[in-house]
Amino acid sequence: MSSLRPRVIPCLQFAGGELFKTRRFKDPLYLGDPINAVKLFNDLDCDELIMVDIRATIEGRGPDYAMIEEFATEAFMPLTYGGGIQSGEQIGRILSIGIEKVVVGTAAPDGRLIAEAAAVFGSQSIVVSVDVRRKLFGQREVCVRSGTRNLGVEPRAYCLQMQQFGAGELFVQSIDLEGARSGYDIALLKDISAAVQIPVVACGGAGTLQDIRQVLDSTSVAAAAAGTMFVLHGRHNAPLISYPRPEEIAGLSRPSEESAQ
Amino acid sequence: MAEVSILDYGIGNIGSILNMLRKLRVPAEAVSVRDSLRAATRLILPGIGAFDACVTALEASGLREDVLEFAASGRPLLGICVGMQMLTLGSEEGNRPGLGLIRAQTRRFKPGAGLRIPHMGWDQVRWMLPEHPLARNLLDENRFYFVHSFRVTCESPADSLAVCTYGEEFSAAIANRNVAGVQFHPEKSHRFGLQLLGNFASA
Repeated sequence: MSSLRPRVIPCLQFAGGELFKTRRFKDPLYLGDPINAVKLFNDLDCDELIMVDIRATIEGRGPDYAMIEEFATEAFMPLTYGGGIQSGEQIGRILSIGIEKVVVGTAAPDGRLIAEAAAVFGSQSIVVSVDVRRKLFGQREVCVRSGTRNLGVEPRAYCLQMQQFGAGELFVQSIDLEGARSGYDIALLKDISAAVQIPVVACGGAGTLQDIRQVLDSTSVAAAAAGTMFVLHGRHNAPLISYPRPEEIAGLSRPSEESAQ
Repeated sequence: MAEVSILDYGIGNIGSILNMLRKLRVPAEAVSVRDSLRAATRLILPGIGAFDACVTALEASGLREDVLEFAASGRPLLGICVGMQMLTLGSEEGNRPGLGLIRAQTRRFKPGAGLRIPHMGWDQVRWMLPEHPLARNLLDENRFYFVHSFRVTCESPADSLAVCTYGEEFSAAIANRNVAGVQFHPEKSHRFGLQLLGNFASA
């Protein structure tokens, strides 16, 4: 396998001009100013940032363009936006602001928007979010609408279908592990990353750099994303922006990849 | 008066480039009409997506000849990503000829064992011409953000400003006199991208 050093991506949640962190898609904890957080991550030279408006879909409103524009002017790295995306027109407007990739979730299942957007803007700018909930007996299924609507579809089949529609990247998030700091859902991510050709971004469960190393070493994901471990600190969940140092990031390279170069 | 003009022909992330030039406090503007292009001091040619789509869009804008004229005038021109590929003679991705401003070809990555395409993420480049004004204060360990499925090879090694290796070696930056191109996205490459665009703005 020849590919680049895996990316490590903070995933930030915001709504109405405020930064939050949820747990299992619930209980948003207020953390401060999202623009300030973007500035701090920019100063830490982070690989990439994902900004998710956690209320856009539920409130039935479109993206907060003014806020997205503020993020774009502060971030000199690839930036991904997700939340409330329903149309190609919205995607075009966000890309023109200076955002690299747009996440589609609730509007993804029928494939129409994904196919249209991939044809117009190129697959590289279209990410499909795959929110996965565990059922009893270890089965898993895909949810949309911030985890409130169950599609009754198995994640691997869903991911293959999204790849076929034209998705350029999959953002696979484990709802049950979000904020748990107990490690990623390795079995799920291993299965999906082996099945698809497009890059998979893992999210949900990271608590330490060791968790990130584990998901990179034991699956073929292209990137590890995390929220909690980059915005909260300690048992009392004190807001604190952090990101691994360059030498820690360099240490995450997969040995097989270095030898393939 | 803008020091850097970005060609707006309906393609590419002009917003990101303007954001970075603003951060550098370089007066910059997007240009989409002939008169502003003729008055430009330095020109950036962005590009993203399919090669033919970019070439076709440039022709549809009616500004293809003006870009060639700008290059011939000796003023600095910088192509970014597919904008760099458009400076070459042509691409295996499409059938339309490139601008031919640098004698180079844009080709498919050779399919190798498990080589994932696109080449997407942060990678280091090697500066082959470290004394070039665009490479000022940049080092081999500096990393840049890439997203591309095709890669450029120069006919003359003297035009290869920087190289990168992904399965095989390719030109990450090219330059011939006043015309240059970068395969990566300086506007998304943190302090190293700032340095490069700053170098261009003072070239």
